[in-house]
Amino acid sequence: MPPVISLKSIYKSFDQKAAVVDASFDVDEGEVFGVLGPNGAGKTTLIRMLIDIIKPDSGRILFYGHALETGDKDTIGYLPEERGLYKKQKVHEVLTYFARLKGMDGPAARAGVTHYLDLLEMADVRNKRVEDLSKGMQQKIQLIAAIIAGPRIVILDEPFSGLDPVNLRLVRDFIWALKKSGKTVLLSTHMMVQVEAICDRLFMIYDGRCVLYGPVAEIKRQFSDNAILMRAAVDYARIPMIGRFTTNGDATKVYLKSGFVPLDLLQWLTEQKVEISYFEQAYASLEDIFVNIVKGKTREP
Amino acid sequence: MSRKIWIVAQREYLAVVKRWGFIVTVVMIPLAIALPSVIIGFISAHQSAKDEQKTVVLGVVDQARVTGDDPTQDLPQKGQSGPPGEVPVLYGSLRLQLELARWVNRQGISFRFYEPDAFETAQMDMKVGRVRGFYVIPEEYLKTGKVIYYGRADNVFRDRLRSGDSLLGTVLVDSLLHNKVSPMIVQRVKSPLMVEELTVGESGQIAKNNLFVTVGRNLLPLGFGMLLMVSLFMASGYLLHGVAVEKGNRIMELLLSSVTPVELMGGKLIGLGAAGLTQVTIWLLFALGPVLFVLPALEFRPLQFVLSLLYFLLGYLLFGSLILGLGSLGETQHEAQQLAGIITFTAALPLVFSGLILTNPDSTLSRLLGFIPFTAPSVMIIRIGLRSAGWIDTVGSLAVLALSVYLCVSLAAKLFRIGVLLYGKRPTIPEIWRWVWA
Repeated sequence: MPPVISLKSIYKSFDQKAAVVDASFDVDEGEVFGVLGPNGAGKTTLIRMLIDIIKPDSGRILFYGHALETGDKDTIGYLPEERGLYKKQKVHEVLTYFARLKGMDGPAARAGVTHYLDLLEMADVRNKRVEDLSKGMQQKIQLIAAIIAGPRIVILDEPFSGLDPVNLRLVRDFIWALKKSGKTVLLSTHMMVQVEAICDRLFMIYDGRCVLYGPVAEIKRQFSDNAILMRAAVDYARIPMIGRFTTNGDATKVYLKSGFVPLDLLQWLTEQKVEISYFEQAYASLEDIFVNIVKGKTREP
Repeated sequence: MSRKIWIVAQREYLAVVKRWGFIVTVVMIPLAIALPSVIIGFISAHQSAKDEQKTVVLGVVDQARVTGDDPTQDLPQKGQSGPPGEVPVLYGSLRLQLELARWVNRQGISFRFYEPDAFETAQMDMKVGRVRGFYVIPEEYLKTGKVIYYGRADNVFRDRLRSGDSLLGTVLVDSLLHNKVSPMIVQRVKSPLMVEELTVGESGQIAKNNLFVTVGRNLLPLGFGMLLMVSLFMASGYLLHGVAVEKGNRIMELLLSSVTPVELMGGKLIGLGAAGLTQVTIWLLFALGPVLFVLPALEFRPLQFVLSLLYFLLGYLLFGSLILGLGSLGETQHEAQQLAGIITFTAALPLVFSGLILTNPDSTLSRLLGFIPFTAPSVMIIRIGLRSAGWIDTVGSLAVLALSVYLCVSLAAKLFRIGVLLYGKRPTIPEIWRWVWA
């Protein structure tokens, strides 16, 4: 089965300044795929090209193996970074309009509006004007607008930006629910912590160019030091497989010598009957990896 | 046509016509136009009724003695009334006929005749206000035709305006020809032409020309032309407002994830054009009285109607798409209006030539304007209405216009696609140029 979305050597420039250079990635059915990068890296440009709002200068974008066709837009739900609604209109009018633009007929669209408003316990705002709703409420309406037509693919551009902790959790739960229902989700964000928590795979972009691409767990492993974060009643200098160690607070980060794996350390500690209260492989955070890549200080894996 | 265009059109239409602003504009503008006219009409009717009650008396010092042997001999006594309901006629000659007396009455002018040597008396009378001013017919009048008018320095123009000159002319014609030619000739000298206008139809039938028929024949083409203008101005306001609101609400990207820029633009053009037409139709209903009055005289020709409608639609698409394309580049409605102003100005240009086209629909300029896409719709609507556009002109002009519409819609869609996603920056002319050719 071909990937849901496939980008092949995409190039886009604005006024002779390259915005996206040679971007290629695949998004598979049912996964949560993160497009990660700092502000201005080219994420929104990439997404706008994906849904045919702007055209790439060169390269190809495929949906299920074919070029985007008119009807394909109806299978894509979209939450743009520049979020807006018709402020003067009533909630149900706005949602019905967006549902109909995604190909639903009138009665189905109205039924969908009722269903989702009930699901999010918002039936009472149905006849309110959008401008009379709180920001959090408007956020929910925008999420409904993105999925009301039952899309196969949901594209969320910076879904976490500007949210308070309550709404941030709401959006995260929303993405989990989409994944559980089998939808393919592509999200772009500069918030690396969220990608670590939600995404299966990622595409990291910096200055229009791909700097990382692959499964999140593998990338983290790949870019991590061979280190363990541990708390134990032992003199760390005595441990033969440790090259160096740093203590920060009540946990100590120990760096294994080349040729040793965490299991070797764990076995040695068990043999020595050392009391261990905490033992965890110390992965580098995506943020660290990103910063290191950008600064050109990446360790060779 | 895509179903989504109709969904966009429906939403745009309802969003406009359900607004309070629309309802207020639709009702208030005719009232705002009608109310001052009614008030001004009432005041001026009242004023002219008052003016009619006042008779302006002008003096005549006939030194040439052309208005009779003794111009004052038949002078009715002061205060003596003329025929019932008419102002006293104070001139001395009885040679004026009833028709003239009526005319005098309508103009509210009467003459006081003085002795040939009473220049000072006339001057004194003017000073005390007995006469507004006075004519002196000098002795050599018959040779030169020269007559002198003396009026108050502050009021000369107004007295003359009240047609004292032509009235005196009639008195002089009467006097000069009295007993010299037959009354019939006198009548013909005074009124040499009474033209009756007849028309020859296409199959040779002769009919009396009727003002209503003339008006009716010109009304339909002019009406369509005006409808195009007014609907365009109305719709262009809505188009620019709609784009500005959607840009301001940051909603464009969401829309463009569901529809293509061409579908969005097309939907807006149809929906807001229909809103403009609704507004104009309601205004026409306000003017239903006058319209019904000329309706029987309207000559309905199906082909003319279809062609006019075609030009109307193509014209609207041409201007509307460009207004939308350029307007989308603006950040606010005000900015959008400035950008689109050049298009609305161009659209109004044929109004400048309308007189020329109406009087000379076959001239080279009229034909040329019919082939220029920006002037073609209104010019050709008028020419077709006046039956002056041949098939070559009509088909050629339609072809040029249709091609232009295609090019303009494509161009506008390009501008629109980029313009609607521009937030917080205004593109430069070289940038726009690059986008258009990209």
